[in-house]
This record gives sequence, C-alpha cells and structure tokens, in this order.
Amino acid sequence: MTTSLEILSPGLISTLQDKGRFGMASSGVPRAGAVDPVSLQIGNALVGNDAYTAAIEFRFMGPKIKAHGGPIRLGLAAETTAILTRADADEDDVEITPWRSFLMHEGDTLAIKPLKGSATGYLTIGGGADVAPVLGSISTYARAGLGGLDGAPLKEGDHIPTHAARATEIDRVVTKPCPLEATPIRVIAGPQDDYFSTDTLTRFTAQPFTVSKDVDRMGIRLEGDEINALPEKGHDLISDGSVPGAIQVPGSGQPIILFTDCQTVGGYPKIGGVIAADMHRLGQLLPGAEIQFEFVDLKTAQAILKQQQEQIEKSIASIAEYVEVGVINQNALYTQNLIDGIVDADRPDHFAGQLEA
Amino acid sequence: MKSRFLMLGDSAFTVEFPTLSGVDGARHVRALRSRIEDKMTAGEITGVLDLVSASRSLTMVLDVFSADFDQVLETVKSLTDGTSDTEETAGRLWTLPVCYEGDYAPDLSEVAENAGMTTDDVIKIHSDTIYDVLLIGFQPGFPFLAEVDPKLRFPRRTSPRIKVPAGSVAIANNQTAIYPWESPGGWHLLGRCPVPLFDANRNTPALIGPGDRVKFTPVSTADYEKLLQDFDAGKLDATTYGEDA
Repeated sequence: MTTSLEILSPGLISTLQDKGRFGMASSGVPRAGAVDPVSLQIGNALVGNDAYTAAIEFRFMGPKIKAHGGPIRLGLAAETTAILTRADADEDDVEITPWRSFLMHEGDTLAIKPLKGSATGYLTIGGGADVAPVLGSISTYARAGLGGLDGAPLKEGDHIPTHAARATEIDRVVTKPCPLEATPIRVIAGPQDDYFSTDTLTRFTAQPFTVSKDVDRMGIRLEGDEINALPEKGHDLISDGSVPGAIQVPGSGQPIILFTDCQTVGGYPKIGGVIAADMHRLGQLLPGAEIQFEFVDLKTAQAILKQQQEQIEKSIASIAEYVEVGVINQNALYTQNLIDGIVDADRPDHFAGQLEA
Repeated sequence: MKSRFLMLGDSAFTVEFPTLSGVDGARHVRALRSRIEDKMTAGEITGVLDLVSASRSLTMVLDVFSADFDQVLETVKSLTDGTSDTEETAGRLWTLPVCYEGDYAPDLSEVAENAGMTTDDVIKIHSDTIYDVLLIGFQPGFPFLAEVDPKLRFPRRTSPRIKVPAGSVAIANNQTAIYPWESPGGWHLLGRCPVPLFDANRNTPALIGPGDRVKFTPVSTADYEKLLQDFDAGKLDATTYGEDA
C-alpha cells in the first residue's frame, strides 16, 4: 500500500531537505540542505533513519499534514509541540511533545504549533520520503527548481510519498536534546580579513549585531555599527568562491552571513567564516536576535567540532521509549536509571515495550 | 606564479593568484584544478566535497569530518608552482540566438545613449565579439563571459532590478552574461536568449563550461518566441548550439 503525507497547509516555508548537494559548485549549483543539520540528525535517529535522510524542514511556522495509507512513523525534531488528531472522531487529540516519535494512521492529521524562541524544526519520516534525488540530493533549491517535489517548497495539496514505516516500533523520545550554546558565534578570519583594519576586526567581535528581518536560506542580514573596509581596498573584489557561513560585508557596512542556498561565487569582501560546529545555530536565528562573533583558529574550531559530535552522540544515545506522562512504567524507569547514557541507539529493542495495556 | 592561501571557515580555503585576472587567470585556475583532480583520482587528496573555480582563484571545500585540512592545504600548495600551460583540450564554441528587440531588451536604448551610438551599433558590437567563459557561478549554469568591447563597458546599475527574467543577456563592466533563472540583478539587460543553460537531466547539467567560448546571433522577436516554445515542448536540443572548436 502506498503511503503519503498530504500538505493541508505548508506553514510559512516548508521544504524537503537532506545534507545538501555537493560537487556541483563549479556549475553554479548552491549546496542547499538542512539549515540545522544537528536537529535533522537527531530527528532521523528518533525514527531509525540514517543521519541525513531527507525530512520536512519548517521555518517559523510549521505545516499541517494528513496521513494517507498509514501507519507512518514521524519524529518531531523541534522546540515546539504538535496536535495529533485521530481520524476516528471518538479518540481524543494527542499533544505531541518536542523530540519524540509517533505514529500517524490513515486519515490522522497533525498540526504543528508555531515555533517559539527558535526558527526551524524538522518532521523526520520513518523510512524516508520516496522522492528521487536530483543531482545527488533531495534538498529543495527553489530558485532553479531542483530537488523536493518538482523543485518547489511544499504547498497545499502536495502529497509526499513515503517509504513504508516500521510500524511495530515503539514511540521514542530524546531524553537529552542537544542544548543550543549561548556562546558567541565562532568565526575563522578570512578570506578577506586584510580588507579591514585591526581596529575594525576588533570591533567586529566586540560589538553585538541584531539579526534583521531579512533572514532566509540565502543569507542572514545583520544590523549594527558599520563595518567598513579600508578605503584603499573598498568593498568590491574579483569574485571568489563562497560557502555557507561566509560573512560578507557589502558597501553598506552591514554584514550578511551567507547561508545554505547562497551563490557559489561573490564579489564582496568576506571578513570571516562561521565554523562548522556553529552552522546549525544560524538555522535557529530569529529576526531581532542579538548575536556576537568571536575569532578562533582552525585547531580550536576542530576541537569544538569534536565536542559537538560527542554531544550529538549523547543525545542520540539518550533516545528511549516514550512514557506517557501519568503512566507509571516501572521497568522503563528502572532500566533508564541503570544504563543512562550508554543506551545503544541502534538497538531500540533494548527497551522492551512496556506501555501496552 | 605568486599565490595566496586564504581561510574560508574551517571547511574551506581559497588559493588565489593575485597578479592574474580575466582569461589568463581563468586558464591558470583550470590548470591548477586539473592537477588537483588528478591527485584526487590518485587518492592523494581525500575528503574534498567540492571545488569552486573563479577567474583567479580556486576554493576547496572539505568534509570537516574526514579531510585532513592541513595535509590537503600542503598538497595543494605543492601543486600551485606548476605552470598554467599544461595542454588543455579546446573548449566548445557556442553560437546562441539572442533577441535584442522591444521588451526583451529593456536597457538597450539607455546603453546606446550612454555609449553615444545607435542601438544597431550596440547589437553589432555585442554580437560580433567572441567571448571567453571565465567561470560558471552565481546561479546554476550562469556563465561569466569576457571581454566586452571597451565602448560598451558601464558599471552595474545603481539600483538593481528585483526581477531579472530568465534568459536575460546582460552586460556590466568588462563582462557579459546570461541569467538562466529569474533572479534579482544589477546588470544592463540587452536581450533574451531562449536556450536553456542548465538541465539537471542532462549528463552535464550546465550547458556551457569554463574554457568554452560564446558568440551571439541576433534573432527576431518571432524567431525567439518560436525557439522558446520549441525548447519548452522538448523539440530542441540545446547541446546542438555548440561545436568543437
């Protein structure tokens, strides 16, 4: 039986995203991909998928969806809740709490509540979306109509075909989600840090910037005291390669952090590049947020990345059977207490289902 | 050849030849790229996710989890000393139809006025030149072409258009280009080309590549619209507009 998820309402901007499209930059093809790859990884672990399996990425306001031909197992990887309404009118609505997996049956609908305090969430799909990759990726790059469903963001009436879910699995929850760090965004200076005076470079990390309302997958425009290039250098250069995370400074002096869908080459000086371990934090920036930068060197960036990987592994290891609030599950409590932190995420059967009445 | 190595975050770096630009720079970058790709094929450089060729620089994008950044940097450094004059296979010559008429050429009159010549002169100069492809970038399949005749060199528009239609043929400074996709843009729009420059279903999705050359042929509005229809209907093959040089 074919299964699919119907988009009843797409929310503000929802797209299918995986790790992104690599190897095509010299044909002008942007990377695209998940703006918060950490949440995507953990969300996929929740439903037993490979780390970067394509999921529904929703920004600012989530979608409303309906299951066809279920059951379909979904994971809610977001700092928000959702309301699951069963097709059977006699059943009560279920509130789906953040970072848990659940089953949708034929005709069930799910409405995700608006995100608060974060910008992006993922609905991961057990078994993944049955959508053909384009140039090696399912990631949607709408400007050139690549990936996703017909190259476009999700819209009302779309049906995302899904692979069959392993419906016998139990509901699970991430008991220790990865916390978002509150440190400054770490940046490596360059490639055009020599376009700026030492004083300007110091000021770049000393002053706060406000995230403007221009936040999308191409770039995040910042507002703050102007960052000006040296007069003899100017703000125009012979275009060179850009990657997501590069912070370009146009003539206005207001920096733009290039993001996942950014162009492959650019002609503005780039003062620095956000380190890989902090990229997912960019995906959670809301307009109005205040951020600060800190320069680090390559060794420090690599050490931070290693720590982050350990953090993600811990989160994934913390995935446990979901115990409904108010239902005492002696065995699950006992087991979790005993082996907390060393659960093998690849062996969900580690926890025998105890919830069945 | 003088080169500089520039950090681009912790997952990429750029090799730049600061004394080069234009056609010479692009050729030098292609030569370096081919040496790097040989090393990648031989397994001596690993963990590369992508390479971005520009007109005087090459950016290496690495997998932070598998690449040894310092080692890749050292290996690439050792390759930059080579000359640019490795034998290069000649690129293709593309002869692309362009409609320089009416609404398809919104900035033609203004450019003619600024250049102090007739619109016919502008069309003749723009379409008589054979351009070198410096790089493909900005958008999928977008070719940066050089060099525009000095008489037609103007800086970008002071206020960029919010929507430049797909297929627009444009000039800015010493370069000309074709926008494969609708997008914002600040170049002066001289005409419209019906040939699709990027198709994910083709073996090589980008029609035009660095090292190729491009020439434009003026066509009437009626011919342009017919070509556009035929391309949309899948009756025409874009690759037939190119020939081995």
